[in-house]
Amino acid sequence: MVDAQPNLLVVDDDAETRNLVRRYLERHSIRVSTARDGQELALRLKHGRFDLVILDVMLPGADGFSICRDLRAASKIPIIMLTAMNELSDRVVGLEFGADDYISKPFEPRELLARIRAVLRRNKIASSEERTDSSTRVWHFEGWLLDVSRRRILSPNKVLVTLTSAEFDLLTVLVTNPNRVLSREQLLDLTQGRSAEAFDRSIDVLISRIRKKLQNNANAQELIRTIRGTGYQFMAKVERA
Amino acid sequence: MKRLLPRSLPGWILLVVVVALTVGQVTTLIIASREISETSHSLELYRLAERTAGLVKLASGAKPSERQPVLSGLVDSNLAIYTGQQPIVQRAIETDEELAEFEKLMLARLQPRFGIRDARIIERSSLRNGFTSPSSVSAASLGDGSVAKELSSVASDFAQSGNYAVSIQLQDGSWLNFSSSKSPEASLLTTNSLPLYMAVALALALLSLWAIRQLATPYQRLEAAVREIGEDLYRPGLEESGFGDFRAAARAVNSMQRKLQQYVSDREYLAAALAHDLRTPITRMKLRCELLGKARDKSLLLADLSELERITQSVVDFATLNTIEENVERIDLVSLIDSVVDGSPRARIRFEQPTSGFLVVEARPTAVRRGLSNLVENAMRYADTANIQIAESETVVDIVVDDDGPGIPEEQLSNVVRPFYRLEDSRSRLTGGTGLGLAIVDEVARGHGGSLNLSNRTGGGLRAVLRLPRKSKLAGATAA
Repeated sequence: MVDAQPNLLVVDDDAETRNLVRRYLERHSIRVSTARDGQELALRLKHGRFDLVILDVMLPGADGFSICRDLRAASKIPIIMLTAMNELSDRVVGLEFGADDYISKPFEPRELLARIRAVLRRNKIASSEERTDSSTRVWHFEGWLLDVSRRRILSPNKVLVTLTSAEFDLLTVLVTNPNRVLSREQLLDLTQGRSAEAFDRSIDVLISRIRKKLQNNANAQELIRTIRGTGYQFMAKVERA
Repeated sequence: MKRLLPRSLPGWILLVVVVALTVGQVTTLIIASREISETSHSLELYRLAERTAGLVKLASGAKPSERQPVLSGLVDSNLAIYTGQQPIVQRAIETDEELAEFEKLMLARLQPRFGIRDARIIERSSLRNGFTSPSSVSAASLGDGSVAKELSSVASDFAQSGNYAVSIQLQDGSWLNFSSSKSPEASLLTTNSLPLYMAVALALALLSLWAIRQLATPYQRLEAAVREIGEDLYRPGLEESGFGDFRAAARAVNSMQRKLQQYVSDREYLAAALAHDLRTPITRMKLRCELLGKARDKSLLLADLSELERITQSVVDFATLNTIEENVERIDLVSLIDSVVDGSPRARIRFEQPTSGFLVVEARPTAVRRGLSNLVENAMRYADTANIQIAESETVVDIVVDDDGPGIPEEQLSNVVRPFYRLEDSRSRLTGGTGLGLAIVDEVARGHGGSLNLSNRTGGGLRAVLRLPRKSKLAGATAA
């Protein structure tokens, strides 16, 4: 990944926040343009090429959700939404409107940076193959239901099982890449940034925790197989909802 | 005794109505039968007077030798006549004042015209009726027809109702004796009328029952509505119809509900505004900190910011706890607690997981998660280590959090769940906190029909027990 500097567009109505985000990201070798609302965003998009848009939900005029939806309809540019504090509904709506990720305000700058990198990386991998339809966010395997937008997982008998963010992200990567052997590095790469946990928790520990939580349900079949010396492979048949 | 008394208002009203009805009916019956018996007694005496006068007139007009044959023609089942030299009524001490007066009256009336010398009258009950009429009609001889039956029944009534025996000494010294049956007493309560009375009473009782139900239903609706408002503030308001009193009460309840809704939405709005207004400056401060480079005190500043963010979050949580619409779902508590604990310093907290399987409760996932986080956070704030266990029964699940902290003074145990309550203790000030942590847990527990129970452990430290019912009574309990 020795690409040119990624080029970002930050949309936020607070001038000081825009300015600070730009300074922070530029310090980490990311080029940043800013826009204060939907109109400015449209203008910037007309005159430049961007790798990612960071979009605040609360904007004067058209709100972040409708901008996100319009943007998604027009292009495949990755979008990270900045949502209100801990508002579950904001996240769900954002993801359903086609955002690639969300981060709630106030955020840790490092986490924002990690998410940006993760989305860019995912986008690169995906576009090199076949980009998945971003509206597909619900997956089925062995009776389980994995809802990526709402970050929920339901057991075959409809019991809501709680995974930590790191566990959820790792499982999502496994489920969306079924029957593919993924190395620890790949898994780390694909999940990194979703949560700070992933930095200091080894993939192996997370895998064993996921196994334990999923096999609570006496689902004897080995869902996640350890490939010795390589990594892990998700064995179940996965279907999109 | 108390057990037999009704507990509900309708029960009481019904009891009052039935008692009043019974007392009224019985009183009316008693008064009416007394009236009737007095009236019939007067009539009886009048008839006796007329009969006596008639017989005296007839007897006086006939020759002594012809008297018996003439009078015999008048004999019937109710009247027996016998003339002779002896009276059938021996002069005894007259006990009945009324009959004594009657004798005097008869004497005064008949002496001037017929010259009678004496008049004696006694009342005889049927049992002492030795003076049976010779032509008394036997009941059987009347036949079997319905009229005949009625007649025979009347005849037997007459036979049993007693009679008056009268002896009049005529002018010539001979005695005219006769006995005249009394009319049977008319009774109000007979085997014929009793069922009618009972039917009327029953009908009235049923009617009252229905009417009371009609009256009580609106109030039961009112009671149910007020109870439901406690559980769901946004239930539809009461219909303001029906009796005036009820309409007024319903209006008052509806207005109360609207005011509560207003109050809650104000609180929610305030919290949302607070959260929104604070998130921008906090975001900016965090970015500024990162841009500071390796400045002195940077980590302390970041810690302060996190604390600020956390406090804001808990205020928002508390304000919006029960207003956020979240479906009740079947959630696995083991993985939930595990995930909550996972966010805490692992060396300090231990979760004794059940060996296998899910532990399912019906609850609102985000709310329960918030409650559990606050519980764990509270333990981590005041104690060095904590231990979490689960105890389950058929109906509830207890999540027991034991810590080795200083505990809470007994007298303050009930206060710490109050919002913004702080222990008057230097230690708790040092360690910070919003005073909302346990209030949020308590709110979550009660919102689910459960409870938060705090106690000091014998070995020191606090034991917090969050109890959740397995089955939720909340709406949308079966939401997928």
